[in-house]
Amino acid sequence: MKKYEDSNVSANNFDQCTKCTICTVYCPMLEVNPLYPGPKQSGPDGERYRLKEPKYYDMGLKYCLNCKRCEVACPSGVRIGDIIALAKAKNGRKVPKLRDVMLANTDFVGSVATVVAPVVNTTLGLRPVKRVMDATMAIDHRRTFPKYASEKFTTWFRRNMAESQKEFAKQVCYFHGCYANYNYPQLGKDLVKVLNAVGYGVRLMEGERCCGVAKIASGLIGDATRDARRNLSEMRKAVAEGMEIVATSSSCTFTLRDEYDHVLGLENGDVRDSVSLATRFLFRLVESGEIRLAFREDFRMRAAYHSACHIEKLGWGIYSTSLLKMIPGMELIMLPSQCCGIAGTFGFKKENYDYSQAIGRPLFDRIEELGVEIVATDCETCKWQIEMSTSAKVLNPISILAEAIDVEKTRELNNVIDL
Amino acid sequence: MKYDVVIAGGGLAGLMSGIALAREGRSVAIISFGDSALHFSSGSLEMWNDAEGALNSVAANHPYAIVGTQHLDRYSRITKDIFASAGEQLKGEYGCNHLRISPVGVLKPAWLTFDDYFVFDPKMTDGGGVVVVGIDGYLDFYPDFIADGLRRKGVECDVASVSLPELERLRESATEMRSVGISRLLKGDAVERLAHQMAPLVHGAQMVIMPAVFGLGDVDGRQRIERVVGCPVRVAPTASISVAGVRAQKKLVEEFRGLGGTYILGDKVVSCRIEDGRVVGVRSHNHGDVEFVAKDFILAMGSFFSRGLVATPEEIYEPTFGAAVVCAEKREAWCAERILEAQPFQRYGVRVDGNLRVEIDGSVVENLYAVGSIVAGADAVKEGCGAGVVVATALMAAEQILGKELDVKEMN
Repeated sequence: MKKYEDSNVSANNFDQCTKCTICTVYCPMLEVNPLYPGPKQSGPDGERYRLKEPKYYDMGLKYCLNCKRCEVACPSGVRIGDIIALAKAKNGRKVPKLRDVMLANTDFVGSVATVVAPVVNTTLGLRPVKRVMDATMAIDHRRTFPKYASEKFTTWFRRNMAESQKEFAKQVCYFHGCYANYNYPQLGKDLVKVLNAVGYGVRLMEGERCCGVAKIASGLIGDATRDARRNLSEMRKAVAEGMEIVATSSSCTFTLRDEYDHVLGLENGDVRDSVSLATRFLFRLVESGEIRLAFREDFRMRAAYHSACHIEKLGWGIYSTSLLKMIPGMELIMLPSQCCGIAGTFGFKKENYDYSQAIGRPLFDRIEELGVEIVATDCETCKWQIEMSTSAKVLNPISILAEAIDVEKTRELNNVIDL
Repeated sequence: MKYDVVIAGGGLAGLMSGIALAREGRSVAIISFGDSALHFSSGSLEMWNDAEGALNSVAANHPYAIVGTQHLDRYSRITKDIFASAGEQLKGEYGCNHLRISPVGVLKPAWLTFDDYFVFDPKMTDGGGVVVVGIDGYLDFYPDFIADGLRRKGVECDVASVSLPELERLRESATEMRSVGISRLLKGDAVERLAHQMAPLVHGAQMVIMPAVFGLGDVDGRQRIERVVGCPVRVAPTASISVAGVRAQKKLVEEFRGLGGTYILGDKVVSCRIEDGRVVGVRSHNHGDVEFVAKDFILAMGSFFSRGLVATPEEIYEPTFGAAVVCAEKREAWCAERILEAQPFQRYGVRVDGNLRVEIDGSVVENLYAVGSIVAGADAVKEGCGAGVVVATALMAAEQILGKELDVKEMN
């Protein structure tokens, strides 16, 4: 059937906006900052004017969190968040601040920081240092910095795992991202543990680069595009070898699948469907009966699931929660779907700190009210925000699975032979 | 992913079917492409312009004739019960319309209305004055129009206006002063300050009417104002986003999820797999090769606004399943020349059989039901039957799937 609605959409589909204003109901920034122009005005409305004359660019667009909740709510399929991101890239500050460059270059800063991790972790935790960073770079002193690991995930993997992984008949490619590599290698180790138990060997890309989500948000489009091209060529190699690509971060997954095309304008249609969140990859295999999971009988956990903005946009929280619900000792409570306020690097910036905490407040209150010790979420920056703002510990669903599975029994169920 | 029932469309129709089925223990997934027309609710559900009359003589192809008008009273009670379980009280009942007021002050017949909304009571003509209180600079609510409408009914009516510094600030935003922004700020002591400003202005009134801006701040804002001003405070609809509609949508989704339902927002069905005259699975934009498998399916995508139906210069079609559509072949026949005349396209929609099942490629699909405004045959504007058709078809489809009549819980 001819899809007329597909053929009458302009490239930046602001003309699909019917001015219904539903998006303004669900914008987390508008909720705490009435002076933000809001998604409708910043997106499709403003785009009309900006197309005529770039001087109509509104500096207020810097408040957009790129959470995409406006797009999820839009009944007309307008890519409001993409329109705003592109407008920021095109019309925003041409020379970004040093602070923004540092926050956005999660890969460069991470690779330096891991070398001297104990020093960095201690230093970043010191109150005087925080004061200096606040005063000189406008990184808010109230913010807790993520810890850096002393051994990168990739180093650990190449030293200890790379060889044994080749023994598995089935292989999957892991896009670890900056967080698992520099901040929390345990997440990568947990994924290897789970995938190995169900008979999958893990492979890494030769030259994985940062997915670019933070660079896109900071308007560093040139850098993001360079990294994206490299990632796409690595992804194509993996797909050519018959592998799927899985990630443990919802924002990396979302960026590789959608932002490369929508914001950076890079063709990724040939590999897009091969990029999956690890929980989706596992869920599909469990559902089709291709793999089975056995869980420890003594495992008990009461956890609340937080649906990160980009997982909400992907629509994939259901895979993580479905897997968690398979664990017999799990009591899983759903938190109301709302932004936690951190929005990647947004909440680190001094001028945004109060907005960031105000946006997340109802979520933090709910977590404390429930008295849960564990919050499960697929996003690393949500983890930092929730751990800093509540008494809960935050875990990726993959880490919870790794703790809950009975490795021996799972290996037996999946006929994984000792290597 | 396996469910008993998968529903395409998450507005009032999809939610009513979904909740009715989930209440009976069915596992249900709703896939909704964006938020729904409930966000523009007038605060009332309408069943028929003239409740006493023409309903029994509707055309044979009207959704009410397919549902059977003898069931409407029961569906009416179930609707009230579902809303009440979700935490939203509706007033009114089947067979006796009341009068609600429109944003421009026209009194219109309605069947069920949110409890906090104004409905006209003939006794008001001799009960003292009514004061319509607006908010300075808020352009989506017109106290003078509302007052004029009531005066025409013989009610003594005044207007007044109030303001708060934090509400004034909204006028600086490019999104402007809108119902949602105001509603969010009506919490804590802002409510008290507003109430105390109102008290001298409405002294001695039998009732105060305010814009419908309660629900996203403190839930009891309106009641607290009532306590300060000492008379009932009712709300009237505003232009643009309906705060009560947003509130109702949130509560119904919460109710559905609380019953174990899966509500997926921002996604849409893109293809379906039909085997032996039955839909066996559908695929969505976001979930790709992970198919939604179910025993029954419901099409509740709404009409043209929500793209349940698409009109091109050549044709009108149903894009989700490719179901057969009832419409005039010639484009010239789709619209009447004058905008306020009955518009033929209003009645266009998906063709259904006596069990609300749709037709694809010339044959009826055994387990795919159409509900809500996508069903052909009704003119919601001229007949005032929009919400009535939605809930009647939604509940009938649920009964078809369950193979039994839904229970009516008697409410006091």
